[in-house]
Amino acid sequence: MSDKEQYASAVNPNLTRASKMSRFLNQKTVLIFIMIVISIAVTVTNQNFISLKNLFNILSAVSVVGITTVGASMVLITGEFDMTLGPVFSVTAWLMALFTPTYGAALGITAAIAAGIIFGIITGLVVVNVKANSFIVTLALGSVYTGVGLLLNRGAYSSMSGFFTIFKEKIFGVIPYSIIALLLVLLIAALLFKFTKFGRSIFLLGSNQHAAYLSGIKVKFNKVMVFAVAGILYGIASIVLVSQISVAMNYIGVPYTLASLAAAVLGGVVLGGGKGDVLGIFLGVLLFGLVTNAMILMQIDPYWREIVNGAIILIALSVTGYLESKE
Amino acid sequence: MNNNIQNNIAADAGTGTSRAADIFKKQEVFLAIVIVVLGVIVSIVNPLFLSLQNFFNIVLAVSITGVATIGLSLVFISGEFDLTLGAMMSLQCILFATFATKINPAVGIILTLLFGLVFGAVNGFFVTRIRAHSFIITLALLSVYSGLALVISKGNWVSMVGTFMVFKNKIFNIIPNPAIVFVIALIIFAVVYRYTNFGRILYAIGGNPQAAYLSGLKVKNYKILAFTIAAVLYSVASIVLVSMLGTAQPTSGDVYMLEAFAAAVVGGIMMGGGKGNMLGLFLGVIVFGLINNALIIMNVDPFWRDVVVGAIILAAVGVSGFGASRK
Repeated sequence: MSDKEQYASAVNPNLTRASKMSRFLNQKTVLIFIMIVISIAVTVTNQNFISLKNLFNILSAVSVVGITTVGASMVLITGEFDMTLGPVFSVTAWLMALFTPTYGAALGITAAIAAGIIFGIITGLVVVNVKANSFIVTLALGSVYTGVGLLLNRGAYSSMSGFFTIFKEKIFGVIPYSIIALLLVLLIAALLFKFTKFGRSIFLLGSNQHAAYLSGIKVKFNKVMVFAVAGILYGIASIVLVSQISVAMNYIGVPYTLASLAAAVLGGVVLGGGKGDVLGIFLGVLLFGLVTNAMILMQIDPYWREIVNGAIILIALSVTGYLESKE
Repeated sequence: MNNNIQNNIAADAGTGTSRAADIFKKQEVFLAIVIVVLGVIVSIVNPLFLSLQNFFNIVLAVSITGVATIGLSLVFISGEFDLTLGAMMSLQCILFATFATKINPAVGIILTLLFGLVFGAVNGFFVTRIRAHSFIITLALLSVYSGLALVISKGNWVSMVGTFMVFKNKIFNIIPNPAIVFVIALIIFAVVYRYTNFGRILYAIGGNPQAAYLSGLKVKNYKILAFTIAAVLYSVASIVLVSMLGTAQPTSGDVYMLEAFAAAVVGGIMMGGGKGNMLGLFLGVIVFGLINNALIIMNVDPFWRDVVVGAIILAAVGVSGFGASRK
């Protein structure tokens, strides 16, 4: 953080007034610009990159992390962290794969989503009642949920090979169902943020909790609700993943925690709360998918993937920060 | 985080209590009680628990987490996050094992410490230059370091069995060498925090960055220094770890990130900065070692471990949150 600039802006608010030009130079523009540059670079070496089929490949590859990112973002917008993402995801995925072969997909889905809601409500209740940073509180709860998962399945994986393979399939043989799931979640989230009282409340909660409280918003209730909705989304994401890979084991959700936080922040969701939108979240997720896809098409050693991902976050944040400081 | 309302509630609840009651809300006292209660319960079940041998076993088991947590405490106290801990330790393990086998252990130690210095300075540089939360910046750098570990090792183990086994040995056949490293580091940093300008300035920066800046402190430089010393301590922890295990994997250090976060916070090193001391850190780290040891000695189903650890973290942060009025 730049203390000098913070101080300057605190003393003289006029220094931070946005010019008309800089309104276009926000984080989303930076992301789109990076994506265009990568796309051009890749297309030069591999013509297959610019095709509808490859676009669907990219979107399908990010559908799971896209859905979890929406959940993680909602929590971030209220000003909290949710490190239980991975553990909850692991348990719901395991339940889905456990119940589907014996009792049918309907019950598997119900169990996964119900578990997501229950975990979410518990997380929310603990976060609003324990007066400590929600990062560490949800980290501790994540440990508890991982333990609960382990106690339930004794470390064994569950498989539902051949059942409920819908998210492996494509509509008309072209558009993968997983993309439809992602787009539906994004659309619903956009509507929720824009047009519902609940959606607007969580933004107010995140930007100024005290003001939200004074204006009659039920702070604790809304926070618990947000964690519950996030839990549902982790459940849905795990259903999509298990449908694609047919198997679930412990720790399967772990990589999604940090990946979702990274995508959310890259998409303009601000840690600390109050800021973020669905288009940004989508672009953040898409950028990671695009980079992974580009590296595969350019046949770059997969070990470089993480380095490139990290570098892209740093570049996007540096450029955005630089542009903001010019405002 | 905006928790004004909760703070007010906490303050209201606090006014009625006497000083005598307040002492039980101190984190160190709480931890000491936890340790004593656990100790009594376990020694009733299994008298072997109360032996010098077992005491050193516990300290040995936590010494690597302990050294890493001391590093993390510098960053926490200065008010920042360092998610690179685990990934950087993985990279340093690979570097040390590679240098130690290709050249010799002495050169390996020097180079690994130097690399720690460089990585730490890089962390500090990015955190202080980019206008974004250190959580996300160090998350991006985490990705870079774990990618580097994979690229350098090509995903393989690096074995150095028989090369450098100092930290498998015990002084006088009883005190394990890693425990000595941990205790020396604790003493050094207890002195640094208490009696040096640098230590006191870190608290000032973490406690109130604005005031620190206005009083003429070079906040950014001190933060870079905090990240640098932290990374050198991760190097030390990695060297000890590789020496104990005899091999390094590209993921050797990953588990230590969350362990160190949990131990620091349970030990009263608050996220947000300005608070914590080495006694608390020691007790926090020991609590984790004690729980692991107690679960083994009492023959408890190992799958309970995560649940118990999560519950202890929640209890500790719950108690400190209730006792301390936060800013």
